[in-house]
Amino acid sequence: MASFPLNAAGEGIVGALCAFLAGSAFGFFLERGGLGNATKLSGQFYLRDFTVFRVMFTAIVTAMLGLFWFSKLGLLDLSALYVNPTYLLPQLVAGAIFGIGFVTGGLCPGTSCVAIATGSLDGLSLLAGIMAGIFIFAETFERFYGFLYSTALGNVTIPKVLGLPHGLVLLAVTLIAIAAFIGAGRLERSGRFSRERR
Amino acid sequence: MAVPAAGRPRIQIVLLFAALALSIPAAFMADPAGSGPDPTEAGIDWSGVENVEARGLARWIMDRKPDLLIVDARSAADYEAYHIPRAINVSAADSATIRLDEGVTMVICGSDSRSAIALCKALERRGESRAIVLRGGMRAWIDDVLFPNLTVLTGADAGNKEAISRMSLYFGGTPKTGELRRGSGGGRYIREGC
Repeated sequence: MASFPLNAAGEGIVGALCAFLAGSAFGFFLERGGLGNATKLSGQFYLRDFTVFRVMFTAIVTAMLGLFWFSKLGLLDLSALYVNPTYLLPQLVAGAIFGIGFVTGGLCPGTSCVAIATGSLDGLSLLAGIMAGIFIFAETFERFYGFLYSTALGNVTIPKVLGLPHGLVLLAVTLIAIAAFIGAGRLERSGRFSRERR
Repeated sequence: MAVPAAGRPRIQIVLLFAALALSIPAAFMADPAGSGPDPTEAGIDWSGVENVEARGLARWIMDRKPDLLIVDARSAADYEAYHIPRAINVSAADSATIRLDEGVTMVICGSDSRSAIALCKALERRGESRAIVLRGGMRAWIDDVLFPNLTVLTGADAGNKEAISRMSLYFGGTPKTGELRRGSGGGRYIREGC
């Protein structure tokens, strides 16, 4: 059975069209999910609003299920998917920088673009900061590249690290997501971390 | 997205059951093809099949190993797109015409190991048992010889980075060094060797 032409989707006009459609859909659903609102996003870090958590975890489970079943049905060649190699320490540091930026600004790179689309000045100032960061990083890249490629672990995946079948990991993540959604809902309803209480 | 106190929206319940319905059977199924480090290699019985690693074959070519015959068993289109230096394209149908002279080392290269093993077995049935399979096929050649990732080498390969890097450049590849490269970088497919 023919599988989805992943390689073609990354090249030429077809690639550009695929990127445009995927990007537009991504932005649309982020905005519809309320993720263009900095107040809502920063509510995640104060445990007041779990929208980000729900959207991201839903996306993870959806992607896992989609990849597994489309691959099983012969519609997707998993070996053609690029798995970003793990560089443990640099990625931990990068994650921390990303998190600090996210909680400080209230938006991440994707949601800042969504916020701009809805006319938010928050988003515009965040994007200006992102561009400045990219420029500074590019200009100082040579100083860091030794660190950037340190602690290389290769193409690490959860099933490989745990030595478990993909399907079992898939079920475990789904159950964890469901339990987390229920827990997040209860926490929100309890109002323990709401602004009013504080 | 606040959940109404009166009850969860029906869509959430539907999605929850859909996720469970899709993930519970998955837990009892085999891994999907392509999910491993090299899925085409999983479960291959190598007993009785002589084989050579991609870097081993590369070394033979670099050393000008005499009487080396590399048979590319892929389609003509794949062969035209890229093939190992010195390889000749022989389709499965044409393989019946292969007759080896004494002393010739024949390496069969497929897109992966399985296709090459199939041809190797077919030759064996006709009494030609001197074929060697390129382990991992073109996938291994591309990953290990042309574009090796020097930042994730392990074991003996980790101490052999320079030779692996030279090998990659010799065949027109680019080793992934994790180092900054300036310039146009336009020589990706320009062979320095044969």
